[in-house]
Amino acid sequence: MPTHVELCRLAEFFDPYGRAMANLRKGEIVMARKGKQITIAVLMGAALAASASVSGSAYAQSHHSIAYAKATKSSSTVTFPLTVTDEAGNKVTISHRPVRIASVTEGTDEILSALVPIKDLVLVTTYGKQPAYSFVASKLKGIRGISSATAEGIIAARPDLVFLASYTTPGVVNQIRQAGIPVYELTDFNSISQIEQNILNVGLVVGKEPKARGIVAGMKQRLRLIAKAATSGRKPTVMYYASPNYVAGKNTTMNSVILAAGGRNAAAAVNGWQPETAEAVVKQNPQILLFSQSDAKIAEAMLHSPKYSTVAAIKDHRVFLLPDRDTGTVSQYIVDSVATVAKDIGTLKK
Amino acid sequence: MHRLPTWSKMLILALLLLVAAGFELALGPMNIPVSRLVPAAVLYFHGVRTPDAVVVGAIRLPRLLVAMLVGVGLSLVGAALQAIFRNPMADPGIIGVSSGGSVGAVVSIATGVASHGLWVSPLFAFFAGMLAMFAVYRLGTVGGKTSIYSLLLAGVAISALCGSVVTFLLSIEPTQTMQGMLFWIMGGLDNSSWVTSAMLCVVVGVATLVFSSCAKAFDIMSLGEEQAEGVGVNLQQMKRVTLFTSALTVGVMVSISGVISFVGLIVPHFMRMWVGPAHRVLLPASALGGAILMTGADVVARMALSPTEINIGVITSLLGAPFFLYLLRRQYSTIVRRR
Repeated sequence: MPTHVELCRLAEFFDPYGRAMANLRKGEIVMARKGKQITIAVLMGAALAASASVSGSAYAQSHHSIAYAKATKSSSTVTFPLTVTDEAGNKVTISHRPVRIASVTEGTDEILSALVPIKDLVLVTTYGKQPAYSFVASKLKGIRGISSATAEGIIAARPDLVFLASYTTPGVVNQIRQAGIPVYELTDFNSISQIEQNILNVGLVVGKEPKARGIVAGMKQRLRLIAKAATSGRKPTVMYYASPNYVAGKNTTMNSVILAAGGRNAAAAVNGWQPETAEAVVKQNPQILLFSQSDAKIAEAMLHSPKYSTVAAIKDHRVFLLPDRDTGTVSQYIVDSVATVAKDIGTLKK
Repeated sequence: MHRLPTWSKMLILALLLLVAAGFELALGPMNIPVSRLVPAAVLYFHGVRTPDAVVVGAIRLPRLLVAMLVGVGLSLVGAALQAIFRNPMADPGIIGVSSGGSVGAVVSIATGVASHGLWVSPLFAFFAGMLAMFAVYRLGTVGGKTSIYSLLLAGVAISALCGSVVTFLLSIEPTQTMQGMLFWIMGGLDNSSWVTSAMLCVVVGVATLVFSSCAKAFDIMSLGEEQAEGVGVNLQQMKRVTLFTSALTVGVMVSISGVISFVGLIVPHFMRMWVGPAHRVLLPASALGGAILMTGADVVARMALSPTEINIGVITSLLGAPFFLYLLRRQYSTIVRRR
C-alpha cells in the first residue's frame, strides 16, 4: 500500500513538471536576455544531472533504462553546427541553434513548447492549437498552424529546422531538404519509452538537451510514483476501444499507458491498432473499458447492446471516457494520461 | 457440370450455403464446441446471458443472417441491373446508390449529427443513396426516354463525384473519426444485430418479390429494347421499378454493412454461365450464390487474422477481382475458339 506521504507527493505531480521546471524556464529567459545562453546551459546541465542521476538509478531495472542510458552518454552542452542521425536514419546538419522551428507533428508541438521559447516556433499543427486535442493549445495561440504536411506550406514559414513524422510523404521531405532546410524525422510514438527518447532527441537538436533530460527525469519520477501506488492491488484487465471497432493492442501508446497505470491490456493478443469483432471483445472480457470522449456514443451503445452483456466492464459499469487530448498525446503529457487512466481503473485513488 | 439438371445445381448451391453457414456459426475467437451451439442459442432465446449464449445468439446468428441477406440483396440487384442495362458490367455501384450511400454516412459523421443516435447514419446513407440514384436517373433520361448508355455514364460520373466528396471529408477529419468512416468505404458486418437483420429481411424480401415478378420481362429485355417494347413490356415503368427497388435495397444495405464491392457484379455473372440466362433460374441461383460468397468471405474476414477483423469488402474484392478476370479470360478464349 502506498503511504500517505507518497500519495501527497503524487498529488504534487498533478501539475506537470511542477514549479521546478517553471523556474528553469524563467531563469533561462532572464539569462537569454543577457546573451549568456552557454553559461545557463552549463548551469542547468549541472543542476539537472544531479536529479537525473538520482531518478536514473531508480529506473536501472525498468525497460526505460536502455533508452535512458543512450541519452546520458552524450555531452550536456551542444555546439553548433551539429550533425546528428535522425530517427529515420538520415544525417541532419544544423548550422546554428534553431530559432525558427517548424513543428509538423502534434507530439513535437507539445515537446517543443516545453523546450524552446514559444517565439522560436514559426509553424505548428492545427491540432496542436485545439484545446480538445492539445495540452499546449493556449501557448500556441498566434502561431501559424498547418493541417497537413505540404512542402510549400512548410517552406513558406521560412523555418531553420523542421520536425516531421515518418508517415509524411517522402516526396515532401525531399522537397524541403532540397530547399536547404534541415528536416528531423521522428519514427516511433508507440510507447512511453520511445516518447522519452523522442524528447531527448528533440532536445539535442534544438540545443536544449539538459532541459529535455529534466523533462524526462520528471516523467520517470511521476511514473515511478504511480507505479508504486499501483502495485498494491491485483492488476485489472483494461481495453481501450475506439470507433468504429478498433482496439489498442501491443505496440500502441495506449498499451503503454495501460501498463504504466498498473493495468493489463485485455487486447494484448492484438498487434497495434486493429479492428476487432464483438466476439473477440466478449472473449477478452476486459474488467475496464476505456474510450475517448469523442467515442461517447459508441460507449453508450456498447453499454446497452446485448452482444456485450457478459463483458465484465459492461456488467459492472466500469466504462470510462478519457479526454481526447489524453488519448492522443505522444509527448511528456503522456504521464497525465497515465495518471488519468490509473485513477479510472482504480489503481490510483481519485 | 453443365449437363446437371437445374434442380441439382440449386441443391448444390443450397448445400454449399449450409456448409458456409456452418463454418460461420462454428468458428470464432470464442472456442465453442459444435455440440454446444444449438443449446447456447436456445439458452439465449430463453434470456440466459452466459458468454457462449450471447456469442451464438447475439453475435454469430445475426451476423450470419446479415451476411446472407446482404449477399442475396447485392446479387439480386446485380442480376436485375445487368438485365435492364443489358450489360454484364452493371452492378449496384454503377447507379450511384453505393457511393451516394457512403457519402450520406460520412457526411453524418463529419457534421456530428451521427452522434444524435445510432440510426442517423443509416438514414443519411439511405437518403443520399436515393438522391444519387435519382440524379443518375434524371441525367440518363432525355425526352422521357432513359438511355442505357447515358445512364451508365451518369452513374460513373456521380460515383466519381461521391467518391471525391468522401475523400475530401476524410482528408479534413481528425484520425479518430477517419477510422469510423473507413467502415463505410470498406464494409463490415460487426454492426449486425437482430434489428438490422429484420430491416434487411424486409427490404431484401421486397426486392425478391419485385424482381421475381419481373423475371419474364428481364428475359425479354435481354433481346433488346425495341423487341421488348414490341411484345408489350413497359420499358420506362420497368426501369423505374427496378432502379427504385435497387436503390432502396442497396441504400439500406450500405447503411448496415458499408460498401461491399464485387458481389453484385461477379455472382450473377458466374451464375449466368452456370445455370444459363433465364431469370426464373438465374435470380434464385444468384441469391444463393451471393449468400454463399458473403458468408464465406465473412468467415475469412473474421478468422484469417483472428482476433483482428479484416473489412469484408477487402475479402470480396480480393476473391472477386481475380475470379472475375479469370471468367472474362475464359469467356473470351471460348469466343475466339468458336470463331
